Amino acid sequence: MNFIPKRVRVGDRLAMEQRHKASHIVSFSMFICLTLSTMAFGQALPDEKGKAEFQRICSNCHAVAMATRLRNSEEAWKSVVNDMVSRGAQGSQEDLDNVVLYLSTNFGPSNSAAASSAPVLLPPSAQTIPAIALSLSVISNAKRVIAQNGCGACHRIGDEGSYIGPSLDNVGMRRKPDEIRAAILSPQPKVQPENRQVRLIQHDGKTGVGKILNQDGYSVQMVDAAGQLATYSKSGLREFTIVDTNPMPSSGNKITGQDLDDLVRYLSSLTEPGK
Amino acid sequence: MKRSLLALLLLACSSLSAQVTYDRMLHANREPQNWLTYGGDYASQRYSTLSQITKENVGTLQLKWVHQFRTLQKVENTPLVVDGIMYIGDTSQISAVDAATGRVYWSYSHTVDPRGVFVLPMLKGLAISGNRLFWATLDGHLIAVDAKNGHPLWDKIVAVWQKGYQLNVAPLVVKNKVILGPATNEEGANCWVAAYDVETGEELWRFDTVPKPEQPNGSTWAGNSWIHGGSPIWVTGSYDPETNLTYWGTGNPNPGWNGDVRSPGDNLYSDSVVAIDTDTGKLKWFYQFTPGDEFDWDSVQVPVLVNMDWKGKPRKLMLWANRNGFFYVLDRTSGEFLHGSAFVKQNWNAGFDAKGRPTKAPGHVATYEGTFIQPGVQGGTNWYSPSYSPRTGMFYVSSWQNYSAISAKADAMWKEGERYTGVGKPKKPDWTRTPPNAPLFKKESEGYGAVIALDPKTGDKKWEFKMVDYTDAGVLSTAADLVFSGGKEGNFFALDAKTGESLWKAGMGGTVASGPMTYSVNGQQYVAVCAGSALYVFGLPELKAAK
Ligand code: HEC
Ligand code: HEC
Repeated sequence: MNFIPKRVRVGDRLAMEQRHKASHIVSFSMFICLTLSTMAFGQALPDEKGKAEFQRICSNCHAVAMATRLRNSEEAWKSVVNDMVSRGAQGSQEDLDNVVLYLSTNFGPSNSAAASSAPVLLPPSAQTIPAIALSLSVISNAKRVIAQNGCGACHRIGDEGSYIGPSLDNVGMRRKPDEIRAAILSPQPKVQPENRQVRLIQHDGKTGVGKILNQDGYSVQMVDAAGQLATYSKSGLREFTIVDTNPMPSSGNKITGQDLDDLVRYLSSLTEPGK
Repeated sequence: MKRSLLALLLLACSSLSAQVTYDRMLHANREPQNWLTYGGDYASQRYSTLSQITKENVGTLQLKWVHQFRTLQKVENTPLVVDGIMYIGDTSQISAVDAATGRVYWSYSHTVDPRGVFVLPMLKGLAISGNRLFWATLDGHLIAVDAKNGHPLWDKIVAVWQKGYQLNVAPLVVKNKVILGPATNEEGANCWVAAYDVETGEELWRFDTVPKPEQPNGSTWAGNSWIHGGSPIWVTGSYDPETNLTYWGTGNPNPGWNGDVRSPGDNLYSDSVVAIDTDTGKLKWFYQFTPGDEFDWDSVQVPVLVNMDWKGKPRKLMLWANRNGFFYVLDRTSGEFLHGSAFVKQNWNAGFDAKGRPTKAPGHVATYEGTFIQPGVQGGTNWYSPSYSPRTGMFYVSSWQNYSAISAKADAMWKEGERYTGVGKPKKPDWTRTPPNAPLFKKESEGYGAVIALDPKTGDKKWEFKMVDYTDAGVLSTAADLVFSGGKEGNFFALDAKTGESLWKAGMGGTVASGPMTYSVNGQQYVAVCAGSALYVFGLPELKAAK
């Protein structure tokens, strides 16, 4: 007969915590909390940009420790994350980029085995991006091109424009100049999933169109061109279609030369956090 | 302070005596107020005859109480309820709580070795026999705890985590035996199903899920590949007192994504159901769902045992919706294959031969570049328990519809302490196939989760309840023709068992990745489910929670 009392006493927790070299001064309850998460995961996760996305996306099928026990280059983490996406990991492109950032910052080749005590590196996107100095003439020419071509029918810059397409306020943050040029000259036939539209018809015949923001089995949330947020209960809908064709017209033969250069430079300079 | 509170509570409650005898377990359906095993009864039907919650009043269900687990991970636990006491836990602590109020009587902790890294840090549930609770811990301990007071009675290491094992099943107790098996962290550690004495923890028999070369079916592994064949146990088996057989589903062979070293060969008893004599541990029969698997299609489903007419003759059957996308009906006395039909889109099986062996569709094999395979790696369904209602005659299961993956292999070398998967990186991950920012913006053609009702006689889909996101939730059916389930969207819902119509839902604020269950105390029926890292208990409003 084996009789091994295993009830954990607070003293045991203390000893354990000391072994983990926690030096925080925390209240007793928080102390327990910390100890528990330490026990649950073997090590604490550093509080850095991307932690929330990492925990949310990467704990769905297996423990996050599957990743944190490894030390990889950014390239290698990118490929792990791509691989996980192909297995069904779900997150927006931005979320996934943040996961890669988080992992390569905190679990890179130069990070020690005890990741929690690793030096804090500033994630690249948190570093200030040098503002691109644009002359007033470039800006005003670009604004003219935008107005003449009706870009505001779908996009917003600042407080003006529509909600159909992505806001361009931070497009310079998301996209390289080449990509912006390509998006204008030869838009992809299908939109990114986050830019998909919903078309719906209610039982009473009323219709709705807008960009899909969220949905579950019971409801769908969207924003229409005017920025009006709406929730529809799916049981109230006669028709519900998700549209993924890109409404953006090609400006290949309309915007050229200096106009195009100015437009791309201006858009590339837009690095406000989007609304 | 905590201690005196505990003492007070213990005093207040005259006795937590459970005394769950074998006879009670055999006739679990006579006491629907209780939930005595992981699957509700030995047949694992997850069907309850409780009928106070009906189609008419289910819309008024209210939250009665919540139990917060210590873990911060999602919880996959199905609680046990015995005579008004609920037994629940996560990977670091188990508790006995008042099933009517949620008040904790006692808790017992086990510190999982912090050096261990476990693929799935989950506890599926506990088992009970007499006054003993059995807890299989992540790091390989099987612990017997006194159900009355939470005192440990014995504690045995039955699987050594340093060798790549972990435990997360709810054990199954039959007579004097606690039956369970380990899983491997894909480290190529060979697994087994074993029975331990409820009194002492002594091992009574062991059935290896990977035979040695000289044993029957040992030649189904090429060369020395059997040495690291894996074939883990992830979920609880079922038991049939008439055949005295216990049935267990086994997991994938190692290396899971590259079959080259294992081939030629079927790699028995991976991805199979094994029928084991409960007294001796001897194999009576087996059926392999996915021979020579390269897609991680563990047969880690709970065998659902039903007696029903099959082609005009009463038969003892086993119903099984497998991760490989097929729904199976087997004769559970002999293992005879009676039926197999796809319940999700699939492209790997060109058809069954008379014995039920699948014919692999040409070209649908793991490659270094990556192959488009339906269903994808998480399968048409997975470990979450299905349900069978003898009233409707339907089999209910959570499924991943229109789901696919690019399956790629890599060279695999076994190394101690390392994962042995042969998992490759697809040369060109197909970002459009599963939109990365799914589920919110996903179209049905790109995959969705659904609870489906199958007619076991034909495999036909009777109805389908669609979600947008996928689901890891088990299913419960009741005599009031209700079906309860949930999903990753975080909704817990009740459906009409006959039509699939949604009758009630609650937003849980966390993923539902557990099997719901039902019980009653002092005449009030409750429905309980884990979501996120808490257990939620619902009941009807007009009946006050009993004291
Ligand atoms: C849809 C399920 C799923 C999600 C979500 C998921 N993974 Fe995985 N992960 C897997 C599977 C399947 C494997 C293969 C190994 C196994 O399960 O045995 C794996 C393996 C891994 C491995 C080990 C690879 C190796 O070769 O040893 C790492 C590292 C990993 N995942 C990291 C991550 C990260 C980082 C994320 C978040 C972006 C993530 N996973 C999200 C399913 C998932
Ligand atoms: C009819 C609606 C519509 C009009 C008009 C329109 N766009 Fe777009 N645009 C979109 C949509 C929708 C997308 C998102 C495409 C995707 O998801 O791939 C987009 C994408 C873009 C992008 C890429 C943004 C990113 O983050 O990927 C840029 C840059 C852009 N548009 C600029 C313009 C400019 C400049 C104009 C005017 C010349 C314009 N668009 C006119 C709908 C429109």
